[in-house]
Amino acid sequence: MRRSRRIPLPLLAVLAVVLVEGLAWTFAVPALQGADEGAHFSYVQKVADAHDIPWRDPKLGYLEPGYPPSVSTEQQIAWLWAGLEPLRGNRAARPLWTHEDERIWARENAKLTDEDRKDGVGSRVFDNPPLYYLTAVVPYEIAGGTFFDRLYALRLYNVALLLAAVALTWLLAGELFGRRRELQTLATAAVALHPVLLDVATRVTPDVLLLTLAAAALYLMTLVVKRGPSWKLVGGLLAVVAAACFTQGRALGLIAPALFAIGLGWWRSRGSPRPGLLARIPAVVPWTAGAIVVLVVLAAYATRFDFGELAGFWSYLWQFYLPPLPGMSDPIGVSWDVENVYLNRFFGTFVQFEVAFPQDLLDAIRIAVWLGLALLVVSAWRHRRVLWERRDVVAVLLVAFVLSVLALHAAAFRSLLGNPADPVITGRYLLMLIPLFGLAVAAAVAALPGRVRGFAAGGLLGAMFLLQLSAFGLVVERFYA
Amino acid sequence: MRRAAIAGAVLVLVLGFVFVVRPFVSEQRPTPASIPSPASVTKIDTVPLQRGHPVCFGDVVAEAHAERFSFRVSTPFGPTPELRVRLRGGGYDYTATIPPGLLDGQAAEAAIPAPLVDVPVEVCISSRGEPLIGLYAAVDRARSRSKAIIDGENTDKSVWFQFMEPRWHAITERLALTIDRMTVFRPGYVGRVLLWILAVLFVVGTPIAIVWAYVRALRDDGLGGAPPIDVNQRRSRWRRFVD
Repeated sequence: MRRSRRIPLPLLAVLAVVLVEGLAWTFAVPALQGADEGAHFSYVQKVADAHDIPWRDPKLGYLEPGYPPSVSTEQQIAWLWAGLEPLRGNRAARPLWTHEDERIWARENAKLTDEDRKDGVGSRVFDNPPLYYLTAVVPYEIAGGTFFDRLYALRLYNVALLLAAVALTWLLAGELFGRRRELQTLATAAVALHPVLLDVATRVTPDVLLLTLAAAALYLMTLVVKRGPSWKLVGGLLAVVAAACFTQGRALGLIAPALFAIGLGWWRSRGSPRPGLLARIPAVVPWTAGAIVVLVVLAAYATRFDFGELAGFWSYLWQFYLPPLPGMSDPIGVSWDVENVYLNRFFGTFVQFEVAFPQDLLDAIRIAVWLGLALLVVSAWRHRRVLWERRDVVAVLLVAFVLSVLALHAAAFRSLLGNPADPVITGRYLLMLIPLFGLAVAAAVAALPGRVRGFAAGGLLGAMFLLQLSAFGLVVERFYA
Repeated sequence: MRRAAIAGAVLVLVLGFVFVVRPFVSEQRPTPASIPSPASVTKIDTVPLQRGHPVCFGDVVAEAHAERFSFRVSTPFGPTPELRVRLRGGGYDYTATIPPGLLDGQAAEAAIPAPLVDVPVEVCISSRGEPLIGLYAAVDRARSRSKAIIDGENTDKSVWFQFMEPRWHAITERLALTIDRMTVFRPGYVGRVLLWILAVLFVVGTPIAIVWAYVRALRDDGLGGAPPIDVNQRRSRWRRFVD
C-alpha cells in the first residue's frame, strides 16, 4: 500500500494502459515487420554473438537492409522459412500461421551452427551509434533460445523503455503545469494513446531509447532553469544528452537546447539583471552570440559548408511549411511537406507504411490539430500570468522544439543535396519530441472553463483511445484478416 | 466536473463503438486460410507450364480451414487447357481439376476437401493440353520457401498460391482463430491465455483505466466536487453550464 502511495494513482493507471497496449502491439505484429527491424536486430546480434561493435568499422560493407547477406544466416533462414521477408510491406501476404510452418522453419533452423549467427555483413543501420544496441544485448542474452525468443525479448525491452518515457512525460508536465494532476494526466495519456508511437516503440529500434533519453533531457532542462544549474543537474543533463547522441544522430539537435537551458539557469541564478542599459549589455551579447553560433552551425551542417546553398535551404524550409513566395523556385527533392510529416506520418501510418488511416480520418485529425492549436493560443492568453511566472520553462521547451526540428530539417536538406529522391524527414522522427505533444494537448484543453473542460477532456480521451484501437485494428486486419 | 468528464468519454466511446468499431469488426471479408506463396512486391514473373512437365512445389501448408485454392495464370497464346492440381502429403491426397478456358491474368480456383488438421503438402500443377501457359510467380523478396520445380530443376521462383475459406467472414467470427494464429513464431510464453487477457484488457480495460485516471486526477486536484454556488448571485445560462 505504501508503495502505490508514492506513485500517483493516475500515473499508475496510465502506465498500466501503456503496458497493455505495448504487449498487445508487441505480440500481435509478426517478427521483423517494423521499419529496418531486421537490420536493427542484426546490429544487436553482431554485438552479442560476434562480439563486434560495427559502428564506424571500415572493414564492414554496407548493403541494402533487404539484401540477404546484410544479416546473419540465422536471420536469412527466418526470412525465408518463417515467411517473414515475403510478408514485409506486402499486403498480398499473410504470416505463416500454423504450427506446421513452425516445424518446417525449425527443421531448417536446426541445421545452423554458432557461426551462422555472426556472419551478417551489415547495412546503413551499422552507421548508428551503438548505445541502444549495447544495452539491448542484455535482454538478448537473458532471453537466449530461438531467433524469435531473442527478437521478442528486444521488443519487450522497448516496451520497458516506453514506460520510462511516459513516466518522464508525467514529470515534465508536473514542472510546466505546477503538479496539476489533471493536466499531468492529460499530457501523459496523450502520449500513451498515440497510435504511431505504440507501433514504432514495439519494434526493435533505437528510436525508443532516443525518445526516452530526449524526454529525460527535456525534464532535466526544466529542472536546470527552475532550480538553478547545480553540478548534479548539469552533469545529469549533459550525460543524458550525450547518451542520446550515442543512441541516434538525430539527438544532436538536443545539444543547443541543453546549453540554452544551462545558460538560462545560470543567468537566472545570478539574480535579475539590474535596470539600466549597461547592465543589460552583458546579458544580451552572449545570448545573441549564442544564437548566431547555433544558426551558423546549423547552416554549415545543412549546406555541407557550401554557404552558396543557404538560399536553397531557406527556400526548402519555407516551402516545407508555407506556400512559395513570389520568385521562389521549387525546393530541392520530391514533394514532401508539413502535411506528410506532421499529419500522415506522425498520426497515421503503421508497420512498413502499408497500413494507414483512411483519408477521412486523417482529415478529421487535421481539423482536431488546428482546433487544438487555436485552443493553445487561447490557453496561453487565458493563463498568461501563470505562463509569465513559468516563462523560463516555457522558453526552454519552445527552444528545444524549434531547434530540434530545425536540426531535423538541416539533416534532411544535407541528405537531399546528396540524394534528392529521399525526403529523409518523417513523422517517426518527431516522436523524439512526443512529450511536447502531450504538453500541448493538455495545455490546449486548459483553455476551456470548468465543466466544459471536463466534458471535452473526457471526450478527447475517448477519441484518442478510439484512434489507438483503430490503428491496432487496422494492423491486425492487415496481418490476420 | 468529474461527471462531465465521464459523460464526455462515454458519449465518444459509445458513438465510436457504434459507428466505427462495430462496422469494422463485423464487415464480411474474403478470408485466406493460408498463403504459402504471396504475390510479388516489385517484380512479376511466370513459371512455364506445358503438357508433360508439371510444376511442383513443396513445404506448402494446407490449413485446416482451406476449402479452395487459387493461383493466377498467364495465357498469351489463348485460353488455358484443362489443369490438374494434386495436393499430396501428410496423409492428404487430392487432385482437383480446373476446366479449360481461363483467360490471361485470371485466377485459377478449385474447391478441395478441408484437411482434418493443418498438413504440409506438395502441390503439383499439370497441364492437360495446349497451349503453353505461365503461372504468375515471385522472383523478388516476396519469393517464398516453396520454389517451383520443373522436371527436377529448381526455377528459383515461387508460384503465387493461396488457400481460401469457402465464404467470407467478419473479424469477430475469426477472433479465436486469429488469437491462435498470433501464437505462431512467438516465444513459448505467448499462448492463447495471455493473448486473450491482453485483448480484453486492451478493448475494455484501457478506456476504463484512462478515464478513471483523469477522474482520479480531478479528485486529487480537488476539482471533483461541486463548486459552492452563491444562490443570490445572478448567473448567465452559460455560466450556469460551465461552473
